[in-house]
Parts: sequence; C-alpha cells; structure tokens
Amino acid sequence: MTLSLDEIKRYSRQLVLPDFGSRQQARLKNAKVMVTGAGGLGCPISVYLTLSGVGRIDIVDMDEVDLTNLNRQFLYGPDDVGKPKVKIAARRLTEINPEIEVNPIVEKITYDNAFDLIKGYDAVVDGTDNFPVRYAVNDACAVNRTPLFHGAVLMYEGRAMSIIPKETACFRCVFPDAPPAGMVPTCREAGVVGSMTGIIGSIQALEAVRYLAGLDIGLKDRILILNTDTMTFDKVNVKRREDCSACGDVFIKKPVDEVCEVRSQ
Amino acid sequence: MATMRLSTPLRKYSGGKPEVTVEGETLLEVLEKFDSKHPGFAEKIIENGEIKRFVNVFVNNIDVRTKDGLNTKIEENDTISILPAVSGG
Ligand SMILES: [Zn+2]
Repeated sequence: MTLSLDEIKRYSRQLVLPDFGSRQQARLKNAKVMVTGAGGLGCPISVYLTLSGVGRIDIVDMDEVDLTNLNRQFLYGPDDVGKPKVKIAARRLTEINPEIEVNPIVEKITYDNAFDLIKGYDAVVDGTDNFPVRYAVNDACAVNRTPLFHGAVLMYEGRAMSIIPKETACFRCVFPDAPPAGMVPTCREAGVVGSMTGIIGSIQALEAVRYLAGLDIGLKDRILILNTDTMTFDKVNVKRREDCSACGDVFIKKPVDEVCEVRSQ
Repeated sequence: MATMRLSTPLRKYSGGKPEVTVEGETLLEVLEKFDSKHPGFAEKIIENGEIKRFVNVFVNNIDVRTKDGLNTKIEENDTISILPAVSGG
C-alpha cells in the first residue's frame, strides 16, 4: 500500500525518525486495531492511534457520555452527555484524521462474546476499567493470538504491559485470578486525574504503534509501574506460566465473576 | 534495611506512604514484622503459606516466584515491590 502526498506530509514528523520510514507508515496504514473502552484510557489510546495513521480502528464501548467523564475523557464535551461514547469518538477521530477508518461498536464486552468480537485484529489496546472485561479481553487475545497492549490506573498509580500471546507473559500469567470484590478500589471509589490516564494510554498507544510498525518494544515480559505521586517509574520482570489457563498449553475458560464489575466511568 | 514499595491499594497499612523501610532476613519475615505493626497487612498478601494469586511480589524487580517465594532472602538495600492487580481505566 502506497502513501499519498497528503499522507507523506501529514506523517512527515514521524517519517523523519531514523527508524521510521514509509515502509513502517504503510504497515500502520494496513493495520486493523481494536480499542476496548472509550473512557479515560480509550481517549488517549484512540487519539494517538488515529494521529499515528493506524488505518482501521474499531472502538468498543456500550456507555454513554456522563458529566463525571469530563475531567479526563477529552474526546467529549458537555453537549455529548447522554450520547453513545463510541459514536462521538468515531466522529471526532475521523475529523482529526480523515485518511483512516474509525468504526464505532456499541456493545458490552462479556466473556461469552469476547472471543468472536476480538477476532481478525492485528492488535488490541485495552482501555477497559474492570476485572471481568479485562480478563475476557486477555483470554480472547490469548486464544486468538492477538497482541494485547495493557494499561490500568488507580489514583496516582499506573501500569502498562505489552503481551505477545504464546511468546510473552499475559495478564493472567501475572495475575491468574482477579482479586475479590472490594479489595482493589475502582477509579470511581478511589479517584483519578486526567493526566494519569493520559500518560498510561499514551504509553499503550506508543507500544502498539511501534509493534505494528515492526519496531522493537520495551514492555514485553515487563510491567511498567508509575507512581506519579513520587514520580517513580519502575519496571518489573514477569514470566509466562506454562500452566496459564489463558496462554498455556491447555486453554481453560475462566470467566471472572461479575460481582466485582463496575461500569465504565 | 530494605525498602518496601506499596501499591496504592495497600497504602492504608503504611499511613498512605508509598515506600517504607523494613527489616527481616526473608520476605516472609519482612511481611510478618510489618504486619505486627500494621495488623491485617500480611493476610492481604499471603494465603495458606503462599502468595495470593492476584498479588505479585518482586525483589529488585524480579518476581519472587522465580526465586524462593516467601523464603527469598532479603539483603540490605533490596527493594521489595508488592503489586496486586488493578483494573481502573
Ligand atoms: Zn498467560
């Protein structure tokens, strides 16, 4: 796939990077990516994928814009309250970059539909906000062998990790089971500021873009841990588990109890 | 003395501090000593003598499951990081 003159100009600031050229840009243009969640993480993720020139972006979320979203979800304004997030997001992203295709999917991801929903993508970037959906996305990506770019936030803490199924540790290799309800607070209970989801979502998008462009990525078998109250950035090493129920030799369905579910905020 | 970094959900046991200095020869000893001053802490991390499946403990950024688990030796200046799963977005 070749690039038009407009595209060459639009992407010129990244095309001058020494390791990034028209071949890498064409790879992005050919890529089909799913963004799960159009909230605090989903906004920066989808904006940076859009700006970078990922050719096809599908965004899944069933929620409508709420006034409490507006401290961090910068694709929406007060006029959008009550409207489906993904529709607003898709329209805005297409305005930002008309060269690409953005496809809104108003759907609730569940353990039952994740495996079909997340099929045929070159990568999934996860911006969901609760354990049942995160485990569903992880397991579906493991089974379908779709690279998954994970990120999560809680107050001033953020995490990011890149998963190449069967090659690097998946979310379930690291956390085989979800914590019991009430152990880990949600953003709604504990709070979150916009720059926090901005930082983590941007890191996820960057990892995805580098991966799709064919460049090396730094968060394979590693979790980046950011504590922005102390500005400590740590990377810890993780390993695949042979007996992982998601990416191990034998796949075992393990839906996470909806009891600890929270709606996207 | 080693340093223990606590993930946000566990900071209620450290008076909100992200980092505390700890003592003990092994990881288990460190956790038990800290628990004696901050009751309830160890049971968030340990169950039936093992680290819970939704918690990870790293010593100098290495998962202790790949070392000696709770019996991992803790040296001066080691950094212990305790990481439960989080899901916010
Ligand atoms: Zn796994």
